Amino acid sequence: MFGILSVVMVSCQEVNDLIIYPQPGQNDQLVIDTAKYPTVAAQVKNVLIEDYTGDRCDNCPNAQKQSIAIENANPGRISVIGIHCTSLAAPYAGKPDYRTTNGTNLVSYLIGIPGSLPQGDIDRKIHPFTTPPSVQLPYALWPFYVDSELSIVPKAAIAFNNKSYDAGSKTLSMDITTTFQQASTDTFYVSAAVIESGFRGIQELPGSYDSSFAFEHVLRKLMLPYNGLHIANAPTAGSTYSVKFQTILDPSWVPDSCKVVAFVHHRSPGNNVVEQVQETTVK
Amino acid sequence: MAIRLLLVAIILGLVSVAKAQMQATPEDNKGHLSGDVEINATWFDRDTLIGTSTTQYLHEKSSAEGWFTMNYLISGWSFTARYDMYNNSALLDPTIAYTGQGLGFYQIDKKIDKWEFTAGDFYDQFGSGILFRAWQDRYLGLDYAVQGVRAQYTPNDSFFIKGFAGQQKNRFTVWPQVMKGLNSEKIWGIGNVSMVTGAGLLNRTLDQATMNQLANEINNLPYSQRFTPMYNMYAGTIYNTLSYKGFSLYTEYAKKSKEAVFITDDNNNQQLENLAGDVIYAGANYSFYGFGLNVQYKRINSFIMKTTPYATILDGIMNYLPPLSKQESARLPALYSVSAQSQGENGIQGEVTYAIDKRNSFDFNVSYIKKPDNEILYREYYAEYNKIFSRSVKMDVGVQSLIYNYAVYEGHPGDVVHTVTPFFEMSIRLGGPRQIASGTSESKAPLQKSIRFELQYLSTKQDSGSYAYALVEYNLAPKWSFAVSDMYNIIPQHAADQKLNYYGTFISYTEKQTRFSIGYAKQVAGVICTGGVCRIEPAFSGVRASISTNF
Repeated sequence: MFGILSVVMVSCQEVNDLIIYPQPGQNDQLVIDTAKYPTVAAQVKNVLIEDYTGDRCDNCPNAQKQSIAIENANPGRISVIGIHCTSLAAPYAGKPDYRTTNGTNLVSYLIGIPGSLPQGDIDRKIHPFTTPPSVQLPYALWPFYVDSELSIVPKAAIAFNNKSYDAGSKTLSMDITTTFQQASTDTFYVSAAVIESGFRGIQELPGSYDSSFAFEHVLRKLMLPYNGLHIANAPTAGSTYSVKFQTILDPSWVPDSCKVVAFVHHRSPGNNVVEQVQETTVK
Repeated sequence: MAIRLLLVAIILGLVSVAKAQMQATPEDNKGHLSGDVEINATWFDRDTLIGTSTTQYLHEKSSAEGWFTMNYLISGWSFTARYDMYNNSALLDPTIAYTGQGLGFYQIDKKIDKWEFTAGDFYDQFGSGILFRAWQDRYLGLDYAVQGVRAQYTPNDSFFIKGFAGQQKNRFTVWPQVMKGLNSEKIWGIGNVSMVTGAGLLNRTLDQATMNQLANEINNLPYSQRFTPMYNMYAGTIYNTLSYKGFSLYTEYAKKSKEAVFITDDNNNQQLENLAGDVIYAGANYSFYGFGLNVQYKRINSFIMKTTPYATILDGIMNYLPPLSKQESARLPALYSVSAQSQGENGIQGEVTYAIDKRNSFDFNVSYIKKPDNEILYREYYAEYNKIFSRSVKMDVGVQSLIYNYAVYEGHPGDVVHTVTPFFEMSIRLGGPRQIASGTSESKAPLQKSIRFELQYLSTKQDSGSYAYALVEYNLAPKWSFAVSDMYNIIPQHAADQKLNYYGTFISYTEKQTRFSIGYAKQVAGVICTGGVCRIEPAFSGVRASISTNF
C-alpha cells in the first residue's frame, strides 16, 4: 500500500501558478499596505540628493566628494542616491554594470537624457536659473540649495516598521509608513531605493583611471513604480499611509554596506518635489 | 436542503417499501426498527463572580439540543436517519449561540454476500484512527461523519479491504474539500503468535476557493517564507498488532505529504508553513494473573490532519491521535486533562496494575510528554489503592502529581501548573444484597440503596490556585440517583481573589431504558476532555436537564 502511495505521490505533480516568487534580477514593486501603523511623529526636513553619475565620467568623483562633504556637514539629514546612467556609465570589460533599468528610466523621466555628467538634483526642485527649467544642478551649487531645503518644515514624516532581513535568502522587507504633518490638496507618492557604498571598482579620473575607486551611494535597486507609488490624494493632517517594501539583495552586494532610502514626493509634470526622505540600514 | 429532503423521502420511502416487502417475505427477513432519542435543555444563570459572560448569559438565557436516530434493518439493508436540533446552543462552539436543525445523519447500507456498500453519512476508522477516523462525540459537540460512498470486501474472516470517497460533514452541510481512503487488514499468525496487520491510504484535495485564500496569504509572506501549496495531501499508515499469550504489541507508523498548515508559535501566533508529518506509535500490554503492564510510546511530528487549514480548533479533524495520559473521571484529577498535540510531541506512558488479592489492588501510572524542542508539556505520577472491605463497602484512595503546560493546552499565556491531588472515594451499599425473585418485574423489585462519597484536594500555586472537592451521591438503583457536590477554591492564586464555590446538585430518574436527569451546577472554566479529545470551555452556571431513551 505504501508502494501505491509512492506511485500516487510521484505521478501526481500539480500545477499551481498562484504563488508569486521573485525572479532573478526582478525589479520589485512597492505595494500599498492596508495594515494600521502608529502615527509617525513630526520630523525635521531631510534632503535628498540624486547624483547622476558614471564610472567613465572623469569629473563625477568630484560630485561624489561634494555629496559626502554635504553629508558630513549635516549628519543624519542627507540621503544621496548615485544613479549611474548614460554611456558614461557603461561597464568596463568584464566588470559589472552599475546602471539599472529603473534608474535610467527615472533619469529620463526627471531630466531626459543628460548631455553631460555629473548632474544632480536637490529634492527634485526646479531652479529658476536653468533654461529650460529643470531640476538639474551642477554639483558646485548643491550645498547652497541643500541649506535652503534643510530649513523647510516638512509636510510628511517617514518611519520604517517591521524591518527584517533573512541572511539565508537575502530577503529584506519592511513597511514604509508616512504620516502627513499638515493637510494638503496635492497628490503624493512614495519611492524607495537600495543603495550600496564602499565597494571598489574602476573609475575614470581626469587623465587616468582608478582601478580601486570607492563608490558611494550607488543605486542598486529602485523599486517599481520607478517614479513613485501613489499613496494619497489631498491627505489630512495626521493621516498615515503605509507601503510594503520587499526585495532580495544581489549576492554580490554587501548587506552591511547597503541602505534603503525612502521618500515622499509629488509626481506631476513640473512638480516632483521631495517632501521628506529617510534612510535605514539593511540590518 | 432540497436534496437532503429528497434523500429523507427516499429513505422513508425505502423503509415503507421494505416494510411492505416484509409482510410478504419469509419470517427471517422481518425488519427491525430501532433508534434512540436524546434531548438536552440548559438554562443559563449569570454569575459574574465565576466569569460567565458568553452570549447565552446575556441574551438567549436558555438553549436546547436534540437528536432522534432511527435505524431500520431488513434483508441486508440498513436505513439510518438522524434528526439534529440546536437552539441557541453552546455545544458546538461555547462562545456563540448556534441555531440549526435538520437531517444530521442519513445512511443507506447494503450487504451483498462478501460486499458491503454504504451511501450517505458514515463513521469509520483505519486502524487506531491515527490516519483516519470519522466519529462523533455529542458531549464535545463533535461530528466528523463523512458524507459519501463506501465499499468493503470481506472474502473471509481474516481479511478485508475497504475504500471510500466523500466530504466531511460540517454541521448541516459538508466541507468543500474531498477525501478518499483505502484500508485493508489481514489476520495471520505463526504458531502461538497471532498478527493483525493493516495499512491505509488517505488523500484530501483542497477546493479552489481554499487554494485561492491560501495563495493570497502566502503571497503576503516574505519571499523567503513563500511556498507552493499542494491541492492534494497524501497520507499512509501501516500498523500491526502482535499477540502472544498474555502479551500484545501494537505498532504503527503513519506519514503524510507536505501541505499548508498553520503552526502556532510560543506566543500563540499562527504561521502558515508547508510541512510534511509523521507519527510513530507503539503500545505494549502484558497481563499475568493479578499483574498488568501497559506501556505506550508516541512521537508526533506535525501530523496535522484537517480537511482544510482554515478549520479552527476542533473543526475539520480527519483523524484521532490517542493521548498518553491516564483518562481520569474524578473531578479534580481530571481538571488538567490533555489531548495529543498534532503539531508535535514526544511522549511515553506506563501503567502498572497489581491485585494482591480480590480485595486489594494498586494502580500506578506515569506519563511524560514533551514538545519536539524538549519543553515539557505534561508529566503525571499517579498512584491509587483500591480496597474492598466487604460486598457492601469499597474504597479508592490515591494521589496524583502533575506538571501541565498551561499555555500550550489552554491556548493563552500562563505559568506551567504543578499540582498534587490526593483523592478518596468510598461506596457503601445499604441494606445488603439486592434480592430479585425470579419472575418479578424489575419495576416491582425493591430499590437498592447505596451511598458514595468523593473527597479530593488539588494543591497548586498556579492558575486559579488550590481546590477542595466533595461529593455525596445517594442511589436508589436502578431508578433514582441524587448527588450534591462542591468544588471550593480554597486557596486562590492571588490572596485578594474571592474563594469561590462551584457547587452542584443532580437528580436522575430511570424508567426502563429511559433516563431523565436535571441538575444545577457551577463549573469552573477550563479544558473538558473526552477520550483524549479536549476543548476549552468557559465557566458555566445554570440548570442542565436531559432525557434519553432507546427503542
